[in-house]
Amino acid sequence: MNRTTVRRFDILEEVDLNIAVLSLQTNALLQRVFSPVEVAGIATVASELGRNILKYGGGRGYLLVSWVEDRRLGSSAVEIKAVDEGPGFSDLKAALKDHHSTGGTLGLGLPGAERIMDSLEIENRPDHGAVVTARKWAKVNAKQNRSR
Amino acid sequence: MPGAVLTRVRGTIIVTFQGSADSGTLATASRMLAEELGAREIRGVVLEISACEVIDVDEFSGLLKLSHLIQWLGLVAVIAGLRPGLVTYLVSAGVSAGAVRTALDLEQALFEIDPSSDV
Repeated sequence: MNRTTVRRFDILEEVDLNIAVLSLQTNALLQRVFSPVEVAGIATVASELGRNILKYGGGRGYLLVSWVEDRRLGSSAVEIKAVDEGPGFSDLKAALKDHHSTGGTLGLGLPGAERIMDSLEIENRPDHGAVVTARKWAKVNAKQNRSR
Repeated sequence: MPGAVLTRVRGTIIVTFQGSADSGTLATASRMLAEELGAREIRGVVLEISACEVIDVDEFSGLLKLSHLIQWLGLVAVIAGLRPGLVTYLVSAGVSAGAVRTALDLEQALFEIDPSSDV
């Protein structure tokens, strides 16, 4: 699998989120591969993951946006990786359940992101933060990749 | 530059969000509304977000709170101009608008607040 970094966004305050979201919304590659509705969804997922960095991830971290190509399947995907320096997730399963929140919010951000993307994985690094990786495959082989 | 602009049209306040509904913009909008609602006779408030292509769950929750605040004051609150991509995302995420009214565009929102209006 080939991975090309599109851009890294350091997330230290809310304005960094706005920059990341705007950058994804206007990314020519995303606009070419995905529909406008899908691009809006992908940008919103970036906003959700970035906001988690600010709220729960120790207030600092970064979003790494990459383009992933699976030559074997002839398919490609956008990958958003959120890396933070917080305490990590105390309960991974619960984090993906609707209305689970440790911060008094709706608790729908991560579950929503999981539904919008084709895959969402959480890597817990207790006391060293967490890494959340979300991917959305280009439509041609999306279902095929989703079942892997 | 994201921000909020407040205008008044025949007893209705329109808060136009200029590209973002982040916490800073929502706080600014709340402050402007508090001053305006205390000073004048108002029937309802339209939160116009058509310039916002992306609003995450947390931001939409803030918009709902602002709408509830308006309703607590006995006024009609309408969120207008939700884009298809945004609606798709919010529905997928399981977010409900609850008792808050939504409208496709500003014209429909103004009609919701004052059906006799010919704006």
